[in-house]
Amino acid sequence: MKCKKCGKKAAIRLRAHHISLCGEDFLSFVLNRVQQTIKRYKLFVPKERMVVAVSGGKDSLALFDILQRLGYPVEGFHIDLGIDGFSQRAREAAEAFFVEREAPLHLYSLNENIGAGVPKIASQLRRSPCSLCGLMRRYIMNRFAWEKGFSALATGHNLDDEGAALLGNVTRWQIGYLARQAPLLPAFHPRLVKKAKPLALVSEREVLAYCILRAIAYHEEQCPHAKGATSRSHKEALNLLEYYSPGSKIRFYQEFLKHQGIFPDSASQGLQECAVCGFLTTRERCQFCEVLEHYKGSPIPVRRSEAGKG
Amino acid sequence: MSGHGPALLTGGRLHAIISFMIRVVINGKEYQLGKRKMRIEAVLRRFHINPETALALRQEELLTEDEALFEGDTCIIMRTIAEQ
Repeated sequence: MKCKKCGKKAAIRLRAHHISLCGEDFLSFVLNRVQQTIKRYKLFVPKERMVVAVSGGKDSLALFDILQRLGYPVEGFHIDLGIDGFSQRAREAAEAFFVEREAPLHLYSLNENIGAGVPKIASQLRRSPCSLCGLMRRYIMNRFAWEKGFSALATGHNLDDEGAALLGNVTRWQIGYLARQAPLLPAFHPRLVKKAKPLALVSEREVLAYCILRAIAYHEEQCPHAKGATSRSHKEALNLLEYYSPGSKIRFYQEFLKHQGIFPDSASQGLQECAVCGFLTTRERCQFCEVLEHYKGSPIPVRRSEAGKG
Repeated sequence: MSGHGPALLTGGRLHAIISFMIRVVINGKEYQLGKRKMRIEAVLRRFHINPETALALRQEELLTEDEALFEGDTCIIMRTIAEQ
């Protein structure tokens, strides 16, 4: 198979795009794809100060590498979730990547800041570690970005992640989630930082190929708590469709985005500032502060004065 | 020597037999295929792997599905969806 651009030996075939590309042209293809996504969905403006949420896995490290190559002034933020062994190896991969690139990486450790990691807190509160992890990560990432004055938080969600989430939301008809699922979640309140997903139109296989060709040493291990996750079966179902009908994943997601307006969005309704930390919630106290209060017996201190904006 | 089977295959003889195999590594587990030539698409089919969820590497080089592996080759299949 030959590269459609230069005629050299192809490294990858992209059936969804009806092309085969050599390594060099594939890397350019991914950069263009991300740049197009940023423009089409107005994710960032040039020189906007943004932080990338870095887990140490392939998606977040590839995203950082791509944004840096596109010339955006990016910094990284890693949360050490305190999952025995797994978190340590993820943190090491993230740190090694940033040391190699001499790029700034901010670290937040649950063990150091709260006194326990996700599994211990989940066990004590008798909650699912995955839902607790998601809740804590979303809160900490937004708060960190807001306090440090970043105007955008970028995450490494790829097309397969977005497609799987969409399929999950459709099969359960989660209207609220369907209204909000997009490459850009705007900051509709001064205490929110906008969230962007620049890899939303890049498939997981393309991200993997990008990491291989760029020699990115990412953390390959799967979280021990993620076994049996429904998102995996949704990804497999979509990839089966993709196999029989190339381009299905991208059509499923992009056509959804075109018609998303039919779902009413009530996300900003009923929101108020948490009585403890001041960040947004639909209740008197946000779920993060409730978790901390139940776990530690005392809420985290109010840090409104440290804020970078708002 | 009182052993039987593979234990008797030592030194150059063992090497000769292995070099007539195609070695495939999937999720860190190695498989040996007794073939002289096999295309990547056939390898993926053999292990029931959807090509949309995998990439094939030979000596750190990405291979398209029409590429052939030959005896003595080692191919690493990288999955996008982790095994459970």
